[in-house]
Amino acid sequence: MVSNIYRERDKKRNPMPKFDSGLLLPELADFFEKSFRAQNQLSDYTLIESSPATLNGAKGLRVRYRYTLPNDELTRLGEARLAVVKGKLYVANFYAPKLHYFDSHLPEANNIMDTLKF
Amino acid sequence: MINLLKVLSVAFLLNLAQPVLAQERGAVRAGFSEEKLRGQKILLLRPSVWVGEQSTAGLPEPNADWTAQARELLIKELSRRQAEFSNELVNEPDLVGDDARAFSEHKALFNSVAGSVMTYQFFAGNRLPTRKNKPFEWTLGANAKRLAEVSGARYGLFVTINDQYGSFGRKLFQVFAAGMFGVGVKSGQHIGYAGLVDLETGDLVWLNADAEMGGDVRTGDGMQKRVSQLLEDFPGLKSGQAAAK
Amino acid sequence: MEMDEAERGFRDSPQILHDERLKTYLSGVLCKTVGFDRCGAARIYVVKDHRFNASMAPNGLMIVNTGLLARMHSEAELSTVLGHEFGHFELRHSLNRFRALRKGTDWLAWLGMAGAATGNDMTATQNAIILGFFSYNREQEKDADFLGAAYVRSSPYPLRASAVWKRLAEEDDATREERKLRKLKRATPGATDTHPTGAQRFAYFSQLEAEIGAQNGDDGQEQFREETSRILPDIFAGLVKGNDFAGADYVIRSRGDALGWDGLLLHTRAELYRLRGNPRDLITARQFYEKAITLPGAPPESWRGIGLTAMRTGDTENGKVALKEYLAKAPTSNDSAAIKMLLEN
Repeated sequence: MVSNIYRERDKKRNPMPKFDSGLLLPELADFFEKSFRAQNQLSDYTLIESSPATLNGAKGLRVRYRYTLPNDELTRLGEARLAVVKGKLYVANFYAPKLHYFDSHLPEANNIMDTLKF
Repeated sequence: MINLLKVLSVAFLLNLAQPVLAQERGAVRAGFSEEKLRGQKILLLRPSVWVGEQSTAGLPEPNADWTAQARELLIKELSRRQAEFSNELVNEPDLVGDDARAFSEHKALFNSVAGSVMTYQFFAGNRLPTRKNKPFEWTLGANAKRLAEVSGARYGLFVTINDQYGSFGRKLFQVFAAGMFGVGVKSGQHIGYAGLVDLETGDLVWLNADAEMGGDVRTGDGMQKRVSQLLEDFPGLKSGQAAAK
Repeated sequence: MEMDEAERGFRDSPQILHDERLKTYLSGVLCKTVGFDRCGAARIYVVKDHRFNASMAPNGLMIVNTGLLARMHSEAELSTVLGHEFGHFELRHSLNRFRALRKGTDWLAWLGMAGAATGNDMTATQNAIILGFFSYNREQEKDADFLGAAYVRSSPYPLRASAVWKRLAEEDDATREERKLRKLKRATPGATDTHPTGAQRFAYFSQLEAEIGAQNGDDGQEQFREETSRILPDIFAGLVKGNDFAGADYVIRSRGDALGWDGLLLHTRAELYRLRGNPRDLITARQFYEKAITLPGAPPESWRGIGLTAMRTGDTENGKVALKEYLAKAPTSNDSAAIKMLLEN
């Protein structure tokens, strides 16, 4: 049974946060941030906004964030959608360089997230 | 209680190539030719340089002296070759504030895009199913226009070198791994990108990218070799100068 | 001139914490440490990085991690680290090293590192206890330690270096214990260690600190507390939202013990517990939040924390009251819409 967003490759050196189905909706943003930081070894991550959204008809959260990778000066943006359905967390995540790719592909990403079925 | 968690990842990978044989090193955008360059100014962006060591564990460790030395040699070598270019070269202006950030962000984006081209286009085996038959069409986006406005140049030449030399420990580990277990361990990494961008559109019109470049960038001779390799087939060189050493 | 390019990259990087007041403050501490005639050579940049590190390049570019600031307890402690890095700069080790290698003595340099193929356990935790992004050898690190200490001795600050190394060792122990990793024996450095061990540093700094007059002067603790409390969320974010609970808790606790607990620091600790979220953690976190709001400096997010932990542990009614209070205090917060939705259910 998986309980991390990202696979835990090295439990001792880089443990991944574990999902708890008791998390409240706004806390999904915190859980996402911790997971995304650990996966990408980030020191620089800023939550821009977390707001209500749906995923496959379920009530969930939309998280807009900004980050940079270690040793990289490129500012990146991301938008994730998260929802808990019957104790399971579903995450769809889109991230890209801010300068061009994020804005130009966000509509396509949103379209996929809007029509996602599971 | 154990909860099953499911992740649906939405990945966007852009513009992948037509089928070609394994691992190319360079490409030109369809519709671009030397003709288009005629009479245009080329902005020479200050190169991105990173030189360091690869630790025994394979982690990169920067070396300030090597980096400084390589940057100096690279700039010297590029200016030595100015006469070989058919176009007028414009140096990156000294800026502060938003314009300075625009330049550094575009350089970072170029590095990211060039890395993607190398990984997802030049290595034929890596092509993604949804983008299999796409031509060489990559862009930094329309914001690149700011670079044209600031510099007065139509095209921008981006140059990047990223070299990791195997540390003593890494080299020893390489020999050890091969001897004891017959495992091949890579020691060192020598990445070089040179790319020409149409600053009006942001489109990448020419790129040379390779993860196994030659020439020790810490020495003058090595840097000459490296720059020759970086500028190989560059459309803006006077004929016959392309691979001149 | 060419190194300035690296600096340009730094200046424009989104990973730099742009805070003029902080920069001015750090420059002031450096100047007091190494002397006003010397310190002009350094240009300080603060990098958003939760690890303990600082560095100075041959051109005077000085890098200070937010994670370093999080772990210091006074200007005197900070001065030993800045002095160490400035020591490297003055000794020009890195240039000497380059010249030595270029003279064809590479093999000699390598022979000095014989045995380098043995595994290096320092990478086991994210927080490798080192100083400097550029690699120097062990002797050079020691030289820089002593030169740094000499700067501090001739400065208005007392010498307070050993405590820094002691705490780093304790932090590392805490992390290792939680992750069930073997603790390090720190008495002697391994063959590949490029730095003296924490224990060695602790020993020689303790000796220097015991010398007559070494403890004279004001350690600038109050000033340090004030200047760093102002930007506490910036310097603790990476630690609190990282995955090293035990290490982060050690760092927060030791700051509180040394500098006192204000609302913001206690809130920071509460966040750490809430984010780990073991059943007991939620109760502990709520207690911390509730204490935090009685102290000066608690942010509106403390009410958010109370609300969330209360609801998680079944106290929905009080939870909603606290969340409403949060929205009233921070109506334009970046998650107000999500909180409102929680309140409506």
